[in-house]
Amino acid sequence: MEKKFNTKGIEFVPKNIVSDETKFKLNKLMAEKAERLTKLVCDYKSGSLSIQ
Amino acid sequence: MLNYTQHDESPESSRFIITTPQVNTTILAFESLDNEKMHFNNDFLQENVVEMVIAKASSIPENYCKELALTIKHIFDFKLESEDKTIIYISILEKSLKHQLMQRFVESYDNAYLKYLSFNVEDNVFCFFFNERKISTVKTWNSLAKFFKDEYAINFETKDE
Repeated sequence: MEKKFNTKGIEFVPKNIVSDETKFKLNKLMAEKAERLTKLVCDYKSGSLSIQ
Repeated sequence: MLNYTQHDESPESSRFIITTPQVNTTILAFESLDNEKMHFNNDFLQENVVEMVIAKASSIPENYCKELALTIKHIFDFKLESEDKTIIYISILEKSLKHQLMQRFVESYDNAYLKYLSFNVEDNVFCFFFNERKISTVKTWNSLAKFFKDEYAINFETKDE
């Protein structure tokens, strides 16, 4: 592991089987992010992001 | 590099509007993650992780050109260089265009201080970038591994093991 820490990055995968409950929670997390993305685009299009 | 303007700089968020010559607009935003968005149950992560999101604001189909990757890299570099202890978090679908953009971006990265930890679960990729000169890789890994174990009951191993 120490050798890997000296590289640019490390990729990890689950060691155990991912439960249905976890899949549901992760899908919810991604859906909430998609909602934030949609709101961001709406705010931009409505002009509510102010230019510095 | 593409033209961009900065919007709404605050401790909670900073947003950049990037425009291509074809007037194709992309919003790049960095947002703090409060407990409601993501509850790390860990002060180190809660205080330092900001989420980076990329959104297309035009109706032109997604096409992430090389110049866009370079522009994002430029902004990203600046944040990791100028801010203390920032960990930039990105969640994306594996093999999506945004994933390809991130991979292109990482491959072109030549700054020795950039480190990332990527957690691939099902079709999702959760990636955390940080400046190793300011943030300990081991501390970040330990904190994230505990978070995923406690919150999602997942133990991780490195991909090639």
